[in-house]
Amino acid sequence: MNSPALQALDALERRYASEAVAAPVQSHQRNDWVGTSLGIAGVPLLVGEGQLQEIIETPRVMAIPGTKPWVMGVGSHQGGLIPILSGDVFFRKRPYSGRPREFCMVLRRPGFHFGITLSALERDMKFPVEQRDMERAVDPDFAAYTVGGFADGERFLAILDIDSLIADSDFANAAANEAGTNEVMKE
Amino acid sequence: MTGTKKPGAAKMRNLLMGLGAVACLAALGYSFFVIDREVGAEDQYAQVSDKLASLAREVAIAARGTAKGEQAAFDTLGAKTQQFELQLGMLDSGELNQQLSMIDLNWQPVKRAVKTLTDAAPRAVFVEDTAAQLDENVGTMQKELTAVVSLLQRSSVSADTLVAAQKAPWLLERMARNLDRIQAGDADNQVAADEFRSDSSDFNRIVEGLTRGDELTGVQKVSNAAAIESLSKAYRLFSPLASSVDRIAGAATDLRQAAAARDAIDESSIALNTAIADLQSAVNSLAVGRLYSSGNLLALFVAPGVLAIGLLLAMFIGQRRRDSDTSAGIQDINTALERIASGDLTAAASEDNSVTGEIAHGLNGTTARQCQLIREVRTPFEASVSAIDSIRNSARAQVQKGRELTRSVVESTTTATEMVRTSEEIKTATARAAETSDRNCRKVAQGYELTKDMSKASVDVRESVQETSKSAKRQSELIQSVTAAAEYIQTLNTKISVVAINTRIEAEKAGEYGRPFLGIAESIADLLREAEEEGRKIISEVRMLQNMSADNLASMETTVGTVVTILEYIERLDSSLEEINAGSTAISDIISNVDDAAGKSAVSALHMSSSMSEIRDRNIEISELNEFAQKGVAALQNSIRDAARSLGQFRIDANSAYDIAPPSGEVEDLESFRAATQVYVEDEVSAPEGAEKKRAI
Repeated sequence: MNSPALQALDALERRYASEAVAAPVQSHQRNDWVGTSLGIAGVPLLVGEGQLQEIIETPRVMAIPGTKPWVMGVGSHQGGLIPILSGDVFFRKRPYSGRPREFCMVLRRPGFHFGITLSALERDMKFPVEQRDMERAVDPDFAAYTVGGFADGERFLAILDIDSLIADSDFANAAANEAGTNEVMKE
Repeated sequence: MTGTKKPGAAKMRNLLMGLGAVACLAALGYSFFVIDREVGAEDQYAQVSDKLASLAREVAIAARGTAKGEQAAFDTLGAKTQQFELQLGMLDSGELNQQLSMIDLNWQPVKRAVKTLTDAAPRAVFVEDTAAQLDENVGTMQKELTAVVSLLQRSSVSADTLVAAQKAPWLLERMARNLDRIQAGDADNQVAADEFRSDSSDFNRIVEGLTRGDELTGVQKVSNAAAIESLSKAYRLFSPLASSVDRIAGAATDLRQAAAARDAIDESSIALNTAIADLQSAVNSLAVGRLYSSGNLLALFVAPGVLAIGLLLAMFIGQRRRDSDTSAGIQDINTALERIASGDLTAAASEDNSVTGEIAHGLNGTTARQCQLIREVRTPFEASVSAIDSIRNSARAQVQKGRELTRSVVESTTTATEMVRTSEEIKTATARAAETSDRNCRKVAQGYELTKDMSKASVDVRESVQETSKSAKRQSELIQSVTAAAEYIQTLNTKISVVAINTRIEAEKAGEYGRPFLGIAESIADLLREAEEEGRKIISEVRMLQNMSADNLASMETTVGTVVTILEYIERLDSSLEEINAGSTAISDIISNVDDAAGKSAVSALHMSSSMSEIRDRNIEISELNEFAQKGVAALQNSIRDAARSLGQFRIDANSAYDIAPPSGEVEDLESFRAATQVYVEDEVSAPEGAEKKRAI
């Protein structure tokens, strides 16, 4: 019952089997954590992707009276004005008089649009998610605003949690004191 | 003959002296008895006047004592007054009438005042007793009356009653004070007496009112039993005073007069004491009493009596000593005569004896003249002995000098030989020193050339190092430029990183369309990482290179400094070498001078050696002459010694015996003189060998 057509089909099948390229096997996709390596107040940090709006050179600022010491002032950005905050003063809780910070990162959240000065700026980095270390101790001034981190060589890069930063009541109120505010309202 | 007369006269004189002394003693005793009897009366006046002074003071003290109102004080005052009167009556002397009148004149006021005091004594004593009784009871009475007041305050009595009851203790207090004022006798004691009388009446009326009631004054009768009892007790204590109120008030005048009398006594006592003091002075100034007091009598009569007794004792002891001196003197003369008879002309009798002193004096004069004759005979011999001793000493000294001269000649010869040998050694040493000095000069010249070469080489090194230093500085500047470029590249990398990050952010915002840009951003990030690592490495190495360059630069600067220091040292070395060269030349001159001096010294030493030989010959001749002189002196000495031995049989003083034995050292001197000559000869024999050697040198 073996017809030539069938035989030809079998031969074609065997030939294809011997010469055909093997089907591609789907490789195991590694799940990486991606973020930007930077530094605030001398502490190396990571900011996850999607958290930053932009990295800009620190603009010239105009001081705002009646605000807390970590509010450097307002600067122009893309045709508008945004507040520029000093990362050194806010996190260290003391005045800063060192080298001027050249860059700052711009963050935007509902109700918040501001820039924080950076002490260092490196690049985007990837780390395997499973290597995330949630137990390593970080700088006490940054402990409340970090969620774990990754080891990079001998150093440890803590992940800055922008949501925790914005939720902080002290950060949310930039006015110097309530009394001053009331007085202004009376006027 | 004198010895027989003297004892009789002495005895007569002693007898007369004894009788005189006894008569003197008897007269002195009688005089003392009579004068002492005369002095007794005036001594009694002095005692009475002293007693009067004491009594006057006691009267004044007793008068002041009556102020207390005690009876004993008045009695004492009366007794002292009577004693004063009695003692005053014992003085009865015409020489003291004036002083006694003054005393009597000052005594009369005192006497009258004493009379006043004595008259006022009973009332004063009474007032004192009453005052003492009141002082004793006033506390109790006031206590009882205070109790009455307390009880009345608790009872419903009228105010007048209460006031009267409270007034009673106060009246008692004032009565006690007024009583003291009355007793004091001051000018206001009459006022005090009147007040005392008034207070007493008031007190009686108050007590009466409280006991029986008084409508006139408004005082109610006390009904409380305890108050009545206290009131009765107080009044019982007051009743003795109440019965003598008039008497006390009447005594005020007497007491005032008594006080005035006391003041009068005090005032008069001063004048009285002065008058008594004048009396004492007058008694002491009485002539007989001053002159013939017991002390003066003792000095004037008893002491001479004792002296007379002492004289009698001295006379007796002197007589006994004279008798014993006579016996001792005769015995002493006999002993001296026996010694003179045996040929000892040094014997002498004691001339201190008063009895035999003249005999001993004659005997001693005779022996002294004999000794003088013998001494005159011996004197020429002694002079000869002294002269011979001088000659002997001179010869001995010559021998000693010859010995010393011989020793000096030998030492001089040895010294000359040593000088010749030393001069030769000096010449040899100077020759070697000259060679060494020349060699040093050559070495110094070589060193001078070497320092020049070193200086030139150091200058070349310094210039080379300075060029290298300039090159290193330029290199350092280039390294700094490279460092700045590397840091700028790092800054550019950072900015590129910002662009890459922002690119990735924008790509994420673009979603699927921005995916290619995402890959580009990741590629840029990878390239940046490598560029940062390399840039960091370059900066690190460039900084290391910069540090090394700085070290090299510092090292080169140190090298330049060291080379400069070496150049300074080379200059100092150069000047030192020049000084050494000049010093070597001077040393060469000195060496040549020393060489010449050594040659002259050797010639002088040879000349001195020949002179020593001539001195040695002359010394031998002198030694022979000294030997002959010694022999002659020894013979003469023996002759003189024989004559002196003959005269030495007479002993004319304790050390008169001649030392006839020849001095033990004389023969030895001659032997030593000869021995010295022999030593000299032996030195002379041994000298030629050395002398020849010395001359050969």
